[in-house]
Amino acid sequence: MRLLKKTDNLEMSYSLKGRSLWVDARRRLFQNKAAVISLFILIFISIISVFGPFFIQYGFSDTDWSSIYQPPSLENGHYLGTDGNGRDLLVRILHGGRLSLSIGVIATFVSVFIGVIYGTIAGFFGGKLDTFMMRVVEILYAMPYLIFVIILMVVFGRNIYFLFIAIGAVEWLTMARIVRGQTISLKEKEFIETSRALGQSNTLIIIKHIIPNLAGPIIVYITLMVPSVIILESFLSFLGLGVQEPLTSWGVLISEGSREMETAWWLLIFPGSFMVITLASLNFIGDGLRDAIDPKEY
Amino acid sequence: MKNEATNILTVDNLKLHYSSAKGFFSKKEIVKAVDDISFNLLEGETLGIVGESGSGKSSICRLVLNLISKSSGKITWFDKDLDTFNKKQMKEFRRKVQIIFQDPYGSLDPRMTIGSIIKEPLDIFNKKFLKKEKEKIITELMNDVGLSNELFNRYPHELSGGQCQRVGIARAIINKPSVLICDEPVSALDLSIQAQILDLLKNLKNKYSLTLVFVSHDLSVIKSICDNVIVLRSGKIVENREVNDLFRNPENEYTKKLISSVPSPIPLKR
Amino acid sequence: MQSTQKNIKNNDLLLEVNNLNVFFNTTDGLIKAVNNINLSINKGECLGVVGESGSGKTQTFFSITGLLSNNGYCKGSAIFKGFDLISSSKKERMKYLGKSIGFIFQDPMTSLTPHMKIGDQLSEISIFHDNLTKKESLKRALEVLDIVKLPKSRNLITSYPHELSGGMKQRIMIAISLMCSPELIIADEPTTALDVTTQSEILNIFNDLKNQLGISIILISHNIGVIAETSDNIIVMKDGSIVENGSTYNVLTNPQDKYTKLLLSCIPPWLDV
Repeated sequence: MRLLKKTDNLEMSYSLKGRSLWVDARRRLFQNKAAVISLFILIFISIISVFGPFFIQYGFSDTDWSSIYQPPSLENGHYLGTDGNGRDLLVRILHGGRLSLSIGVIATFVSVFIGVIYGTIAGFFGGKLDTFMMRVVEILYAMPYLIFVIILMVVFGRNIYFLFIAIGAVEWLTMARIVRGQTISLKEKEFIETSRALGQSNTLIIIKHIIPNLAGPIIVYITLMVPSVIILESFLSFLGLGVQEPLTSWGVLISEGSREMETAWWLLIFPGSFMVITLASLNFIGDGLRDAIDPKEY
Repeated sequence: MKNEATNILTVDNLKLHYSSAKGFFSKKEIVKAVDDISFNLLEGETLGIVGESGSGKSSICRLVLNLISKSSGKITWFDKDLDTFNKKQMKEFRRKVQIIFQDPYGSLDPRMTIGSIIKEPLDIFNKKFLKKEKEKIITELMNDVGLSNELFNRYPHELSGGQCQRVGIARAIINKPSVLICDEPVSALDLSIQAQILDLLKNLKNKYSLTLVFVSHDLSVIKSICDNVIVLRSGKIVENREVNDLFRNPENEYTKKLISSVPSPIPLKR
Repeated sequence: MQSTQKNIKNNDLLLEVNNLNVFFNTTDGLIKAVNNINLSINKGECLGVVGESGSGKTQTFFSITGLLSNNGYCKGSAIFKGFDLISSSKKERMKYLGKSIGFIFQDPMTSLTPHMKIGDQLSEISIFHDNLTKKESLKRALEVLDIVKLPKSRNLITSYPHELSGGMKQRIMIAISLMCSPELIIADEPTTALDVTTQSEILNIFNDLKNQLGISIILISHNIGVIAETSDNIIVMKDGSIVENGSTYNVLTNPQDKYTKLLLSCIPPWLDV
């Protein structure tokens, strides 16, 4: 039996290069089987969504009146079947994936960008500014976001870029709250106080000390926000407020599929499974990251 | 002999009061964290501030450094009122008065390497220095505080508590301050490490001709390092005297009780 | 353990620990926290356990009382009045823990449930172990409050933990451990979170428990002064092993081990008596 193997290890792995918290977190993440498998699935889905359509003989809007409602078959090249207009379902799912994933990523980054800036400012400076900024967030929270999005879509027309902005504008509120809370607890830490005592300016304290230490919770939150944005997009598309024909997204496909569920089951099952698998993977990665970045939490 | 030393920092009638409402409708209650405190800090001395929890000793440190704002009173730095300082003078004051905190891990940014933590004050005040020069200063300083240069690229969580405290000290003295405020610097450390850090502080004090303000709840630590001692109780100064004098014949009842409460490490024969 | 047998009033063996090892399963592999520890404590004796952080002093006694965290396990035996605490089942062990063996933790602020009245927290344990009624146990509570020198008033019984100071809370913790008339109290750094003046009051209570009620005490502390004032015998631990043991007077005035000498040399010089 080795005595105090932990310290042994430390001595042995002694090198000039430090092991940052990120390296530690990565090691813990890669020990989490569910997260690693999910990561591979997610990467696979992203790659086939981006590059897949180039290798399929059908375009996403090519109609083929001779093969309407074809069930999945290997012979005619419609591996996942066709829809009511004779369009190939596989290529449409992959195209929809591009759109759904990019809405997820872009809208999340919009909300993270606004939320982090807003939250750190409110949290760091505190006092009346904080009170005012948080009341604004609360008022916006109280507005039913669906109506907010619908108004935006009606005023500016149904443009997918507005969809990005509309969703991002709704989701940043939560981000701002989380960041503010984290900032307040970080602000009390002694290393921030030391930095102030050193004469460091507030802007540099935020950039050098606050934001790097917020990165952990932010990253975790991003992985959990992407799925919620994808769901929000699907929901809006389901209501007919989202992406327009012939463009498509997973939400649109599911909405169409659900209408023809009884006659053409494949139109619901396949887009649905793609979405469920992606969302589940993202959630597993998020959980894995949370445990990896902050191992004390569980 | 102390009387000839110059007075570098004077605190006059310093107060820190804040009101706390117990209920929505009840009357506000005033908490006097620091209540009418005056003292002088002489060049080259080690001033101990001792008190139990809630006596306001940490608040005094933060007030002197202007990290929190006072309710009333006056702090004078070389005959100049701190309130009249402009931004530039304040920055210069911050360079001259440094602080180290109790929690060795908490006072270091966990996402930064040891080298960049110690470098931070240099980046603020000596922007014109070349990278090479900075590195040379840092490695020399790391030797001075007893840290191996191999630790340069490591992270705080890979270091022991004592090593982290040394990093904090190095960062505090890199810009050659004249006053170093130590807020319970050894309370979180093991006994053997505690002795090492106290020795280090004594050596650095001589080498860099520092004036130390040493805050602690531990009377034996205070006794081993300080020249003069302020005894605090609930925000008020109870006694302010030369250290040996204070420990030999304490005048105040509270000081007497405090001194007699310290458990003696010399056991009685049973 | 020959030296521990000296200068004690009576020779009834209360707890005997043999070849105790404690391991932890971590992501970095198996860690041995306690290495082959042997110790014994007699009735009415106070045993001081000294060590720096990571010396295994807390884990030794956590393992005996079944408080190890989930990834820890232990080997060896801990015989308390002829009953092995380690090999027994949880149910059997519960007959002793809290009843014959009391445990006091370091942080009095978090050791009490914030939403329960002091009286309820005190009576809970004797209702559980001794099948007392609520009324009887509250009566007992008033008795133990007297032992820990707290006012025997109804006010205290009906107050909540946040209304008390740290020192009062620690006394309540001691009172809780006294409710079922224990024979052994294990106190893990009981005064570390307290001020010096409060600390000396708590140490006086410990001395009273030992001298007047004949309760054995295991006092775990990093503060040698605390140990010197209360304990008869002392164990010095380092990296999970005992480096020196013996009567407190002998060990502290004439240390044999290199580490003990180093530790003692680190104490800042205090008033010479």
